[in-house]
Amino acid sequence: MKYLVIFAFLCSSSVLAQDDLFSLLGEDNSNQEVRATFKGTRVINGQSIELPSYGDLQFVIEHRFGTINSGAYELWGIDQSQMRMSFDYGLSKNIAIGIARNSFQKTYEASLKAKLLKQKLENWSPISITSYHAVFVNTLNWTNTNRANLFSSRLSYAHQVMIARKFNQSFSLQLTPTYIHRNIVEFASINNDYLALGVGGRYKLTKRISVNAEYFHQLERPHENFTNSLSIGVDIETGGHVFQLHITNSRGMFERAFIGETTGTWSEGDLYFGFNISRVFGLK
Amino acid sequence: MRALFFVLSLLSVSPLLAQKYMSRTAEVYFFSDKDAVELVEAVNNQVGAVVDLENGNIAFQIQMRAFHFDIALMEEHFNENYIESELYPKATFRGSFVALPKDLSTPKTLTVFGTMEFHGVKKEMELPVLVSLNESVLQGDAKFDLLCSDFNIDIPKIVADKLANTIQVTVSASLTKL
Repeated sequence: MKYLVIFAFLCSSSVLAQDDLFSLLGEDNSNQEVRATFKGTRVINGQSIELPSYGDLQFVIEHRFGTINSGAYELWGIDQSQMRMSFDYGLSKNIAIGIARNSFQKTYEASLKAKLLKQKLENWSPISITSYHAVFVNTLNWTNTNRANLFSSRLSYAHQVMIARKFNQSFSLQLTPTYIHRNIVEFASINNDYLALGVGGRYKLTKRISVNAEYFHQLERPHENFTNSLSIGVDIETGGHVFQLHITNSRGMFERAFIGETTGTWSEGDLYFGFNISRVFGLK
Repeated sequence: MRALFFVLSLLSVSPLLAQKYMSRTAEVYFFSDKDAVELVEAVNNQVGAVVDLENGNIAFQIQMRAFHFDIALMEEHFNENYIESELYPKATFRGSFVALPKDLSTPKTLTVFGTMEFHGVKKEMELPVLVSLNESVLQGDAKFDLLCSDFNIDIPKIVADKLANTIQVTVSASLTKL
């Protein structure tokens, strides 16, 4: 016991005698969340784990031009453009809602995005998980007016879980298991449901410019004409704007269209040039 | 025996700590506005500070991620594009009072000389600090300017008309006796 007392005495004095005041402060890392895994709320076509911040309204305009191999007459596709515009709003830190309109099949969208898990600096949570749920409404005029056309036939759905990790300052990778359901399909032989697995990543070249790539693999191909979506692009950030420029074999800009109904192939050069521009408005 | 142990350990601690004051909730506020185009301001009230009145030594430790902005996007850009908080998670100031009077019961403006390490750059600085000692609370307040260019913080041309090179910093710390 006597030794214990002497030991305690020695210990306390030697520790406190340290001149470095910083040792008193210690390392306070208070387990911070990892920020900015991706610059935008989309990797390219597909959603990223990022949400608009709480109280922020994000307006995104996207364009996909015609195929690049359509030649000079079509100005390599620039003459034909499809667009999508969307408003997304951060309802809370972890939930965002959105509405959008696509010129493809005059499709309206409503979506819900929720952060489920956030990557932390200390490793007990090495990944971020966000889920995304959207309903799509095709509003083209009915092609066959002789049959009973139900509103429900216009609907299709996408459910995705995004799992991402920011490995370092520059490199982030995301896996995106996707489930898509269409209420109505063209032929009885086509499945209403299909699954796909997406992989997306970004590599930061400078503080404000990154290269992104994205691939969706159809686990059950809905139709033999449809191909897997592959896109490569560049993100450029300037203050409140993010510009995303890319080349993709998908022309559709919503999940059902680009994951399930891509028709272009990279090997034949039927690729589309496109861009997304997003602008954030603080409403809080 | 247990009582003796307790008394001994108390004795061994107190004389050495007698002159040390510490806080983990000191506040650092900064703002920068260029022709009032866009006010950039943030506050961090989880700053660690220690002062040893015996030898006048002073240490501050500032976690860069704990700066809070009203605009979330600004906070993200601050961390990602300017401060690079993953590479340089904290700023420190290590210095001492140039001359420390015995009596601090009335507020006095004293000079602190030391080294600021911020964004991976070390710079020697001399700062005026208003100091007062009230029973067991040591209050320190300081106001000074930092230049982004001194600390290798790039302001890209595209935002140069919105962001000033000068950051005005206000520090306020209430340190309690250890």
